[in-house]
Amino acid sequence: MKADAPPVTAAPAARRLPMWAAWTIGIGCVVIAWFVALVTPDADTAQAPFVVSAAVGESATGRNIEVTVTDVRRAEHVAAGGWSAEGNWVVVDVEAASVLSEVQLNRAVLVVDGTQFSASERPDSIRQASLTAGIPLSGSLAFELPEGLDAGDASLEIALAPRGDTRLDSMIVLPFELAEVAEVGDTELLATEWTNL
Amino acid sequence: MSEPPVAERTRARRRRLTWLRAAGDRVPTAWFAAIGTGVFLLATAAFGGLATAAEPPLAQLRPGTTHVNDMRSLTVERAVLIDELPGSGTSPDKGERVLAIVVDVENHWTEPLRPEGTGSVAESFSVAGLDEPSSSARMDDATIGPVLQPGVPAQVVYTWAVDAEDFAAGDHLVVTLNDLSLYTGSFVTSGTSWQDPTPSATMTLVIKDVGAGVDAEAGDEG
Repeated sequence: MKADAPPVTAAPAARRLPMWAAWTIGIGCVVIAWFVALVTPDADTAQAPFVVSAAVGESATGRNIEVTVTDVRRAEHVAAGGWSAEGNWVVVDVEAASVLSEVQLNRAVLVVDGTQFSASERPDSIRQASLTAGIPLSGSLAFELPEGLDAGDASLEIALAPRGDTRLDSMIVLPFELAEVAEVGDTELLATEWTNL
Repeated sequence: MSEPPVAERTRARRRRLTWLRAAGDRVPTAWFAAIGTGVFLLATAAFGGLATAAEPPLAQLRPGTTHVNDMRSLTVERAVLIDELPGSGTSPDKGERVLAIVVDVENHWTEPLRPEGTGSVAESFSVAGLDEPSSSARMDDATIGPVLQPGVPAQVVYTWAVDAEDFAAGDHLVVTLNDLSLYTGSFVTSGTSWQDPTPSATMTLVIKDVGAGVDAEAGDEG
C-alpha cells in the first residue's frame, strides 16, 4: 500500500509531530508562561526597600543606618523648645546613626492602616538630621494625626531615602498597634543631640 | 486499501476549506474604507460637527464656601493686602506690598501633600493675574511651606509680593479652583502624584487693605 503514495509528500509527513503532541506542547508552553508571569515580581516588589524589623529598645541596623527606637507615646499637647501645639500626636524617641558615611535622615513616616503621615516639620526634631557613622544622635519625631484616629495597625518607617527614594535600600520598620500606645497628655520632644554626651 | 493515501487526505482537507476562502473572497473589502469614512462623518455630525464645543460654565462659589475634591478640601477665606507680613516667607522689596490669601485646607489623600510646587495644594487653585504664590505658611505657628498631613486641617496663608500700584482695596480677585488627577508612575517613572489641574469652580474675592497690618487679621501671627 505504501508504494502507492508519492514518496515526496509521504516522507516529511511521516516525520512530522502528531497534531495532538504539537497542541499539547503549545498549550503547555502557554500555561508555563502564565505561571512564570504569575510569580514574576512586579517593579514595586522587585525594587522594594529591604525591611529591617525593629522593636522598642532594640537596635536595628540596615546598610547605612542604625536606629534604636527608645519610646513611643501619644499626647494631646506637644512642646519643643519655644514651640507647642495641641492635637492628636504620636511622639517617637529615637537614637540614630549611620554605618558607613555621613547621610541625611530623609524619611520618617508613620503608616496607619495604609495612610502615610510624615514626621511633622512644625517642631524642631531629628527629622532630616545629618547622621554620622557610628556616633548616635538622639532626638524625637512627632507625627500629627487626625482627631479621633487612636487605633489601627501602625508602622514607623525610617530610611535615608536620598531625594525621597526608598527603593533598594534598607528601611527600619517598627510595627505596633496604635491603640496600645501609652497616652501621656503632655509631652516634650527630646532635643536633638549626641547620645553619648 | 483501508485508508486513503496521504496526498488524497490532504486534498480532501483543502476541499473542506475551499468554501471558507470562497466566502472570504465575496466580502467587499474595497467598500470598507468608504463605510468607515461614512460612519466617522456621521458620528462627528452627531456630536456637533467639528466646531469647538462650548464649555459648560464653571460653578460660582462664594468666599468661605468649601471646594472638595479627591485631593483636598479647600476653603478660600479672604484676600488681604498688607505692607509686610513677617513670618509668611514673603519679604516685599521697595515699592511692593504683600497680597495674602487665607485658606482652610484639609488633605483628603492617603499621603502627605505639599503646599506648593508640582502636585501641591497651590496647583489646585489659581488667581487670575498672579503666578504661583511666593510662599505659604501656617497661620498658627508660621511654619513655612507646611506639609499637610492626611485628615489634619490647617489654616494656611499664601502670599505674593506685588507692586503696590497693581492692587488696591476693593479690587476683585478671580480665583479658579482646580481638580487634579492622581497618576501612578510606570516604566521610567515611579510613585504617585497629582497632575493636570482642571478648573472646576471659580470664586471672586474682594481685597481688603489692612495697611501696615498692626491690627490685621492675617498679620497677628507675627
